[in-house]
Amino acid sequence: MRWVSLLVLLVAASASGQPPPQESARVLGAKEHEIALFQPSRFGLGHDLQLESRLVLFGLMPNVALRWRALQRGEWHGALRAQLTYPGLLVRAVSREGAGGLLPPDTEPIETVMIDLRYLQSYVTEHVDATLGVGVEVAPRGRDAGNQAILDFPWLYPRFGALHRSAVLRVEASIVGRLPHGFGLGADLTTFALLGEGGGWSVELGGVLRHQPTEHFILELGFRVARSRLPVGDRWHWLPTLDLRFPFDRG
Amino acid sequence: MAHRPIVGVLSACVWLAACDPFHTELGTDDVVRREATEVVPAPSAPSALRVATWNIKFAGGRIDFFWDCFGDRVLMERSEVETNLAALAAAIDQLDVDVLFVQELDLNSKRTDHLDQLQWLLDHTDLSHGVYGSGWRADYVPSDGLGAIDNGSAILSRFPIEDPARIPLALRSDQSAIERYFYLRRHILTANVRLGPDRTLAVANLHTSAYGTDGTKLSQIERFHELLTEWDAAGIEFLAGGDLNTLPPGTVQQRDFPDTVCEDEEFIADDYTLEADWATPLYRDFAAAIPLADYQADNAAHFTHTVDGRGFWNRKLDYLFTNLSFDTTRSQTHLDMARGGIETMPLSDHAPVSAVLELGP
Repeated sequence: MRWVSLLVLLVAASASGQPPPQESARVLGAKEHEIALFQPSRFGLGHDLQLESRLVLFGLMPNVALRWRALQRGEWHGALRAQLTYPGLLVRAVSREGAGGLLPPDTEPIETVMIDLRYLQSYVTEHVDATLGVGVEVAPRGRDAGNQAILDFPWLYPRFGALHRSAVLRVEASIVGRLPHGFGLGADLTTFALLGEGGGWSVELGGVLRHQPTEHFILELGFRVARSRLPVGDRWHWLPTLDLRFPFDRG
Repeated sequence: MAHRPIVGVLSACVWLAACDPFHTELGTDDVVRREATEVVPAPSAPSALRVATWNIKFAGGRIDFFWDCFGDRVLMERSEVETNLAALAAAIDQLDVDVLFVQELDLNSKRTDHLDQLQWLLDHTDLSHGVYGSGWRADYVPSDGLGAIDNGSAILSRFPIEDPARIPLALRSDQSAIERYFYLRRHILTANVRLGPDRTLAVANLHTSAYGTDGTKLSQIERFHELLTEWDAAGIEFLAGGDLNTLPPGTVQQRDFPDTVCEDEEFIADDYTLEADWATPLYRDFAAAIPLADYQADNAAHFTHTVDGRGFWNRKLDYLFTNLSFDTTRSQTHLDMARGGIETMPLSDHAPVSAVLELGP
């Protein structure tokens, strides 16, 4: 209990004066931007709109998202997020012989666009940004991908589950705050439910320690732990994480 | 003081990095026990057992896979796996064995559509009890599209099986650390078959390294011999065998086999000239199902392996030994319908060897 109290205190220390967290329903203001290494880079468009894309993956997996803060009442913010992803190039790239071949060389990729729709509700005070999100991901397609094209690599299976199942439901909760001396702390819990024949679920718990030594640089170190029950069996995995973010303001 | 959180996180990362992220490490207790959904009662007080060993190639039949260099297949459809398993199950019932050693059985692999082949065979043969030891397990093998794999050896029996254990064998030393991390971990699967209230039979199923030139296979065979010697000295009755991936002493052709088409040295096993006497201690100290004299009199009558489904068996790799005795007049290498009563060439890249083990008083 002491640790939980300490975590809440640390997280609640202060959330003000930083770009809104990636998970939040809040968006960047017009002309505010943030380039990130692994997380989505963000571009404030004004009118409560934000454009997002994982740039490091764009060449292999073109992706773009729009986040629209649809409502703000006091400390409550609500946003809709829609993302389109084309996985075909990535599937072709990892379908090969030898090391790095995540899929067999003769895999026929499914030509489809993955559509990810989410609603995010954030509670934001001077000290804390807590967000709850629910969403669904689908991939309209003419045929089933079959056993051959399943990307059952750890962490990828639920994120590409829409290619093999009717839909993937996603529920996520996160809390982000700031520590003294430019440090910050965040935690999130994300669940995936694969709908359709075979089913399956995955729960991921993440924690991140953030350091912002300057206005334009954020370093994040963290971990993710996943527990999954999938058609390929029960799994658990961990992953240390690292990210670099570069917020800036063109105004 | 301000750096403590960073030090903590970095320490945690180092600690996590030292773990086993794809769960490939295997220990002595990485074994599985299974029973048929409907258990057939075991015979009582047997005086002899019909026994066999068979490398079933994960029910891949004669599909040309990428690793045998005859084709490029990586994954099988569920229907292919079940069709091949049904043919194997029919052959196993025809062998009419009491104890069967199996090598290369998939428990949960993407290449065989995650079908539990041990449970499938128990449910579709007269053998109701089984134990399994993983020899190659990884949540994901990021190569050639293999994905998740759990492959190993098993012992199936009409009789209950107790005390399964996995004796890890030496790993290949001629691979990089990353290759070795994802590679096979050979072992001896041991157990006790409960033949009656007061009698058990120790069993040991071995599958040695097929490839490599670093002497790992020799050390694995030596460990096998050492185990059997210990059992024999302790007065433990045993049946042992499996796919030793080496030729018997006195083999005429020891290299340049016609089914060697791989150019990648990782998959070439074509020269046994340095292994001519590796199996000698086993033949010297224990009884073989196929006596060495019989084999040396006619090598071809006892060949058990070829990777070429369009060719025919061209070398003997599979063995059965005991410190009891075999009725060698009833030992059989099941080459085909005429010589063994089963058309085994389409079923696997190995032929089964069966024998009658005399238990004595």
